[in-house]
Amino acid sequence: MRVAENQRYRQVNDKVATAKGNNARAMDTASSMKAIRDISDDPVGLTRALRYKDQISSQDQHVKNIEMSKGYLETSELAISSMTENLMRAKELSIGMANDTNNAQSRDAASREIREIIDEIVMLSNSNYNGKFVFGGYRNQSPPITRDGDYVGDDGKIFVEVAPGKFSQINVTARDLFTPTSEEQEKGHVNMIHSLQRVYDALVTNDKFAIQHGLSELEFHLDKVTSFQATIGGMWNSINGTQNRINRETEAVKGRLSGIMDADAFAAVSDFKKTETILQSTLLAANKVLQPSLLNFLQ
Amino acid sequence: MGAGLFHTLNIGEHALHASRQGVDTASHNISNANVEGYSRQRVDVRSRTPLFTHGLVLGSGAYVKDITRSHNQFVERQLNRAHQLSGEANGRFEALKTLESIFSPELASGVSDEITNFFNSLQDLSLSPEDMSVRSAVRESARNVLGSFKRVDSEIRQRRLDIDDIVNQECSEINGRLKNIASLNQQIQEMEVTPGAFANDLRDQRDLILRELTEKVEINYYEDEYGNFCIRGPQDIALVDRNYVAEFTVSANDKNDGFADILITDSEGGSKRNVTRMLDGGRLKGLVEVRDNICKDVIDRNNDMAVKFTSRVNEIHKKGYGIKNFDESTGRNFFKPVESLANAARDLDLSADIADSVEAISVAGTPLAGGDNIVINEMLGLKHEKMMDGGNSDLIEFYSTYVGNLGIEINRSTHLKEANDLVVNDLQTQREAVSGVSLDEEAVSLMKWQANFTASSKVITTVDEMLETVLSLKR
Repeated sequence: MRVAENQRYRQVNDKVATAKGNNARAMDTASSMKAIRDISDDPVGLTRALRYKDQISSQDQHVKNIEMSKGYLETSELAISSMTENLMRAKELSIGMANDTNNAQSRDAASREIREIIDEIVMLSNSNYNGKFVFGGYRNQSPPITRDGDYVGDDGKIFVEVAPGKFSQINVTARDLFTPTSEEQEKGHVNMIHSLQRVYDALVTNDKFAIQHGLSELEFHLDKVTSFQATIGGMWNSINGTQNRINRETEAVKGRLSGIMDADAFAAVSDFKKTETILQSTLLAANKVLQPSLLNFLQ
Repeated sequence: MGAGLFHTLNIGEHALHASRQGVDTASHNISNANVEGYSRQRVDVRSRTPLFTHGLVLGSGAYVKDITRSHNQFVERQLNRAHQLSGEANGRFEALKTLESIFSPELASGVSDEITNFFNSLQDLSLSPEDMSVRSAVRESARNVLGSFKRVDSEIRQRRLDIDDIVNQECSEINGRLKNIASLNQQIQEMEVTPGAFANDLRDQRDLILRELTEKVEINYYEDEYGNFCIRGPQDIALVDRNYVAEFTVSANDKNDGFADILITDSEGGSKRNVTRMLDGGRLKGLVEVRDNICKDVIDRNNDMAVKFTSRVNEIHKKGYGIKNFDESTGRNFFKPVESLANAARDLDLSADIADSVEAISVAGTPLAGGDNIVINEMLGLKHEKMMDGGNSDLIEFYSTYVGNLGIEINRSTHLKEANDLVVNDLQTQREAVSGVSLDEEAVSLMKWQANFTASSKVITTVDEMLETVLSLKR
């Protein structure tokens, strides 16, 4: 084949440009350690990467939601377990005071303790988490239980998204806890504070039979509180399980994202080394190929 | 009577002339070695018609028949065809490549990121519906989503304008080339009136300009019997006929957002024909396709997303109640309703209520309930709702799919460009093998003709001596 002068220069230019381009690209990858820097680098991978990024961000948010939900539930749980203790104490007192061995003085002393228990339970019913009254339903901006034990919250069930599309309830419908349902009312039950109030009144009036009657009412509420406590424990466990699953998933997705977006460090460095060698040998060859000409040898 | 001494002298003189012509041509080749499109020239030296005298055929020396260029029409045609394809691929590639940065994965504020952030802020709102700072954060992230839609829209529109500028420029360059070819047609025709005269250098120039032209727009051409190039362009419109030239003009098309249509007035001055959507090759086609199809498509998809997103959010938001001053009222929009689909992304805004007060953000499903998050929980569902693509994909899926498709398009255009460049390069090598100047060859040629010149001079001095001998016969 005839090799024209222009052809030789063009060839050298082309080869050097290609070698330099490959070298620059390899350097880019080696210095950034990113496999995808432009959308055309790996369009299919990028499509997946965008979803993974969204997934990771959402999962972080869900973990945040769960942390908050757990706080809400823990506050509720703490309040209810303290209520149980208080009701137990009230029950113990009542059992003791229902005995014939007690006189009016000791019953009066016990009544003062019941008074304190009432105050304590009202305070616990109005527990708040971050300014939100956990037993208030949706009306969680103001205390749900009045001094008389009337429930002024609503039946709102607060749901929080803990996983994509999965909403978990993070509060209990406290009306049922504090006040008897209409069915229970027919059986003669009254609200929690009123039952305590009755015991208190019975103690003050030194009425043994009223104390015994109040005792069964306290047991009714104690059962209720214990079952609510169990419900909350169940909610907490379920959310906690979700959190563990999300944490594991996030790790996996992060791994997948990195697999797409990040360069293989060893390959990147060895690629760079390879292109560098090619560039050097191309330049060397170019230097040799451009020099000789018959004109150099003619006198 | 045979041929005389003067005949010999003539032979010497012609030889001298031919050798000098050889040196001339070699010098011409050397000086044009680096001129693009130049074809090396060769001196065609032939024996003169011999004399027939006394039963003898006497050679009568040599003469320069013509100077021709080494030129392979077949390769030239292939090269032109390849340039047409590579022009289209290059135009497409250059235009597409500028779109790439808009969706760069390095960017942290793309549409998908902002949508994710928006829904995350809604999650916060679901946790604390009454918290004013959370409400403000939701409004801010909503603004960011709108901003990301607007950014895609305005950047793509800007790219379309840039491409449009290039289209205009290409058209005026095409006009220049057409005029050049027409005037070269005339010059070549005039120069080649004498039989055997070849306007080599002018033909080289014309070939080069023709090649530049094929890169820009699809053409067919042939050479008529007078050596004129007749060129036909898109839709077989006559572009150059002898020295008559067609003209490319552009005019804004209101139906296409005011971008330029390409019109051609043919070489006979006929009516203007619109060829914008009938181009079949060359840079112009690549550019117009990206401008009118790919860019438009991205803008449409972006608008589609903007409309679906804002209207779905509005639909749900209308069911809710706000807080404080807004805790008993409902039916509010979150975003300003979209009026025209074509400008949806550009005109995006928050509704006046939300812009005025974050208390208007309606989270609650019931009035007067600060902790109620039912409506916002429903809105959270929008993130995974298959609202796009006829119910087949959610927002993020739709976005990542169309960005991915754009990436594939860019990728494809890169490969196509590289493949076509390779073909052009290969043909260029073939062309250079035939037409390119090799300095070594020319050096040999110089030596050859120089030796010839020396020998020819020797012929003349010899005849001179012989004449002297003849003249000295008589004292």
